Amino acid sequence: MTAASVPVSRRYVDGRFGQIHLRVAGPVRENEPTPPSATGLLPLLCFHMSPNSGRIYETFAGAMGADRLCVAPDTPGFGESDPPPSAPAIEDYAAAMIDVMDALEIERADVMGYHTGSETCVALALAAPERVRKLVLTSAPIFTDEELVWFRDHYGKPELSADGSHVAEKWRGFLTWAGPGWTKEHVAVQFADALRRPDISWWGHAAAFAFPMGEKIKHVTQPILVLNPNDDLVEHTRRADGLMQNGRIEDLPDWGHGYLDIHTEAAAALVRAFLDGDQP
Amino acid sequence: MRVRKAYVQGRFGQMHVRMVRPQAAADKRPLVCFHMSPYSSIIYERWLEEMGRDRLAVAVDTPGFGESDPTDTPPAITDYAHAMIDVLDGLGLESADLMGYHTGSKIALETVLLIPDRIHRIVMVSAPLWTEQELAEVKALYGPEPLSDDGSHLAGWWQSAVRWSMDGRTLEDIGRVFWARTLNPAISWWGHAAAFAYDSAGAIPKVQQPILILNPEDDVWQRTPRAKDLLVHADSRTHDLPGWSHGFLDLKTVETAAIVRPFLDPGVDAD
Repeated sequence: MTAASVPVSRRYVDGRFGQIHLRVAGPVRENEPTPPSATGLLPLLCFHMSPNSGRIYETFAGAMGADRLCVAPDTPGFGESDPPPSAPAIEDYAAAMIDVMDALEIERADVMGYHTGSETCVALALAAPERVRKLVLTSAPIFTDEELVWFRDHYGKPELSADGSHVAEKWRGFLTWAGPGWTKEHVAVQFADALRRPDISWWGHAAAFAFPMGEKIKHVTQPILVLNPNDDLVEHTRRADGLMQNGRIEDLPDWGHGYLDIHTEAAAALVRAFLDGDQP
Repeated sequence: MRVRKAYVQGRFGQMHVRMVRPQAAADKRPLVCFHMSPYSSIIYERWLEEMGRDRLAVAVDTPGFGESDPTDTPPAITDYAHAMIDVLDGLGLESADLMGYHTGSKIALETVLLIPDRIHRIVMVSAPLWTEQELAEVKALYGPEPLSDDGSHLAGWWQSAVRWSMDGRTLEDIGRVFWARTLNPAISWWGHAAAFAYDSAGAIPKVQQPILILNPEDDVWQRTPRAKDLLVHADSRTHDLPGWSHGFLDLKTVETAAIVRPFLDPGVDAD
């Protein structure tokens, strides 16, 4: 068993689109190359949802960092990471994450994703199969064409208002989908990142809705654990059942957005059991 | 020129900086900039690109703002100043000029008083001096604020940003920096609290270095001229900027540089 938590530090590495901002927990220090994990466990890379940033993993990374290197990058264009020159595809995000692995001299890793980040995990596993061992996906959304019309409309470029109503509306949306136990104070910590770069913050969703998750996930040969909390994608995620070569879905009906903060230890235990066990 | 970002270790944890290095070797002193409360070094992004043409230009996230780690408890301006000295040390800057914006201008004052041998010239965007009654009013205005269910607290912050923006600043301009206003709301009032507890009127006469006070027509426009009589050095002066307000570093970047460069680099012909 492991200690509760270790400190999380932040740093930059260079990638193909510019600087990439990382949260790092485990045996690494600022400006030092990554030493091999003392525990022999593979590093874990965590990719966030759109818009947001690696901040959503801050607490969780501290827990996972107790026995392995845990890295949560800001996707290019989000948080403090430099944006791509134009609207990217999920494959571009995956390529930037390979840049992160190269910069940290990580040969092979486990990967974890949250919504858009789940798609980045799948794209990364397909693009560089030898460098990804196992995948943990918080939601594996598979959309119908009808749903995509609604989602694309709903998550397009935000209109800025003079009276701030666009900000208030976004806040109410966050509160609507906040899971049990995730308070306004928790939401406020994450919310600022969703307001960054309103000119391009819709790129993440646009890339996500253009990625044919149902087609792609069929080709992943690595073990997949899908965590399916009771959030806005719970139904879309159930459709992944039967599509995966080597995966299973864990329904988490009592968890919602924020579970990484509220159920940190339980989530870490679930993830560890999958990553460190023999069976998926 | 592209802004690069980095972390430096300080006494309160990691300090986050934005900087632009000139392409050619610079003989001019580095310029280090401190932001207003709440916000972050994001407000200086375009300014760094301009000033970084001929010197190292740095903007620091104050502890607890942007990506810099917070202090454990509400700090005083002197705590912020010590953290800024950690940044100067971490970047290996033996000497520098300082620029501050509102709260940041107080941090600049305190920093120069702590390390007078290393700081040569100071640019302050506003130097508000308050009467007792005004101080009581602003303290009430900028205390901790409850989070609403309907987002009205955020709409209020946005409306305030719009209201105090100079003509020509678009909603997109505001949207580029507004997120930094909303970060860490549980502690983001610490910056104002420190600023209102700081005795600028006591500090300014102790500064032996030249001070340029820029006075845009923003929310503290009428409080700044009171500082004029406290300036000590013969090169110190105030420069009123009527019609300019928040956003001027983005909208009037070159014009501001044309005022600031001759002050920072006396004896050097303007470009």
